[in-house]
Order: sequence, then C-alpha cells, then structure tokens
Amino acid sequence: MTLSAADLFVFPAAHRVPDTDRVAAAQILGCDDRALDELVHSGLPVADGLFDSRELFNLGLHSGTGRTVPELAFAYSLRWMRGSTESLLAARRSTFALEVECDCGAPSTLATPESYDGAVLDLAVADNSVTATVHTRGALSPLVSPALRTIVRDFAELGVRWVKLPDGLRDDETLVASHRVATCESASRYLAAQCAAAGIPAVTRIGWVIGMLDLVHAWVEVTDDDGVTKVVDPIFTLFADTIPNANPDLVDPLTALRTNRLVPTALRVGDRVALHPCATARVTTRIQPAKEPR
Amino acid sequence: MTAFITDFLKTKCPDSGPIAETDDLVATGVLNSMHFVELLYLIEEELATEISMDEVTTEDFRTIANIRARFFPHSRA
Repeated sequence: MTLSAADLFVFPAAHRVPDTDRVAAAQILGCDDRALDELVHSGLPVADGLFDSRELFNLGLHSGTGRTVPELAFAYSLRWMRGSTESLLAARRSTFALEVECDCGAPSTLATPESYDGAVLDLAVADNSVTATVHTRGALSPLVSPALRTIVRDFAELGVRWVKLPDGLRDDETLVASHRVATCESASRYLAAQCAAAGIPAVTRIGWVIGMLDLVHAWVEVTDDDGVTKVVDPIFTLFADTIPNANPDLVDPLTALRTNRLVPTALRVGDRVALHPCATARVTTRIQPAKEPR
Repeated sequence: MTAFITDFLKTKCPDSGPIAETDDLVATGVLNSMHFVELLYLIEEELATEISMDEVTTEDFRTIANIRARFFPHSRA
C-alpha cells in the first residue's frame, strides 16, 4: 500500500490552517521528500510550503500503509478494543482531571463528568479545573427496533471514514452523506437525525473515553422498542472494524455495547466541555485508573 | 541498554543538541505527540511486551531518567 491523496477530503480553503512544514509533514506520513512531492501533485494542499496538520492526519490515518504516525497512534490507543466482553463491562474506578491552562487567569466554564450505572465521587470544581473519581460500568444489549437496526446497519455500510475536521465543519452532519466523512460529533448528529425522522427517541451526548487522552467523544443515546435507553456509538463501531481481533460485540453494529471506558457529560453535540475567553488556552483531560487504596 | 532512546530522540530532533538525563523532553519539544507513539513502540520492542495505555502517564516520558526508572529500572545511566 502506498500513500495517495486521491481519496483525501480536502477542506474548503476558508477552513484550512497551514501550520505544518515539510519536515514535520514527512514525519507524520512516514515518507520522504519525493513521496511528499507526489502527494502534493495529486492533490494534497500546500501553501507557501505549509500543510494543514489535520489534512495530513487524515491522509496518514487512511493510507493503509500501517507506518504513518496517525495509524500507529490509533492502533496503540485502540488496543483495548481487543478485550473480552467481560473486561469491557466490568466496573472501573478512574481519576478524572479536566484542566484549562491560560496566563490570563479568567475562569472557564467546564463540564463535569457523569456516569452510567456508576458514580462520580470527590467532585471538585474550581475556576479552571475539575477533578473527580469516576466509577463506570459497561452495558450490553442487542438493538430491538427493526427501524433502528436498519438505520444503524445502513450507517455502518455507508463507507464513512472518521476524520479530523476544522471546528467550523466538525458538527456538520451533511458531510456524512455528501462526502462519506464524519467526526464523532457529525456521525452522532446524523444518526440522531435519522432516528428522529423514524420516530425513535434519540439524543446526542458528548464525553470522554478512559485512556484516550484529550479526546472528546460523541455518541447517541437511543430509546429502543424495549424501553431501554442504549448507547449507539457509530464511530467506535467503525474504529473496531479496523482493529485486528477486536471484540466482535464492538464490531457488530446491531449490538449496543456501552463500554466501561465511556464517561458522559450532560452536554450534547455542539456544546463544548471547556469554554474560555482566550483562544490560546490549553485544555487537557486525564482519566486514568485509580490506584486501589492500601 | 537505554542508549536507543537517546539515539531515537537525536534522530527525530537533530537540532536539539545534547540531551541530558533530566532534560524535560516535553517542555523542550524534543518529544512531541508524533514521536511519543513511535517511542512507545520502540520501548515495547526492547521489552518484548505490550505497554497498556492504562499503565503510563506523561510523567513517565518527561525525562530520559523517568523513562529509565519506569521501564528499565535495572539499567544504568
């Protein structure tokens, strides 16, 4: 497999941020100068010698070479998807820390963690940080509603690729059907809209995934025909399909597997987990296994 | 035993100059998010085992000394 820009989703010019030089671009893509020239020739945008790091990320992630930085990072951070169903459902206890760093000293508006079938303990909210101990637990149930099953299966068969998108496009669910690209947010919006059109109660939700640093994830909560509200996670189903030996329950789009790594907020797609007046503020999230008390 | 870490960092950041055991690799930009994953795989290869993301923190990689203490506790500087 060789790198190709043929299938790259090229951002509209107004959304592009040229922030990465050739040396860094070649490192991200694991290629040499000549290959980079060929990519530019075949459509990878560059302006004054600078690339958009998100376009490079997307190109690398879907290159199929197995040697680009995005592919290596994903393969590493999604290893947990190979776990047994029992391990994905078991109770977990994690420390949570959301922090905004900025010299201005102004306070931020921060989301707090919630828990499905678990608990949030020791919650401490300050101007620019939230800490807590989060107890999580997974749940597994097949989707019952025939209409819901059709919607979820159709999405899985749409051939959508998860990509990084500029902020202005991140929640745009129209790109799912028009370009077969989606973020967690836009995929969730797309699926929730499909459910609503079919009369199935569904809302989007955003939150975090234990172990995946700083990633704000999104999914859909659907009330199925059996009256149970289930988590449908269209993007994780796509991710799991790329991981060798992934748990079959994660790959199966007709099984609602809410893993014990999911930490929800009360927020929907379109909301932000951290709001701060300065654009340069640095937001970090750390959720790690809590050490057992001695 | 951990010379491969210094070699890796110098290859990735040839302009960084000498890297001391206690230099902050993150703050100085020697170790960025791109190199981080590659370094993880290198350490796994050296240890011949997988390192779970649940078991590591940024602090484990902040200095060469930290990396040594965390992953190669029996090696000498």
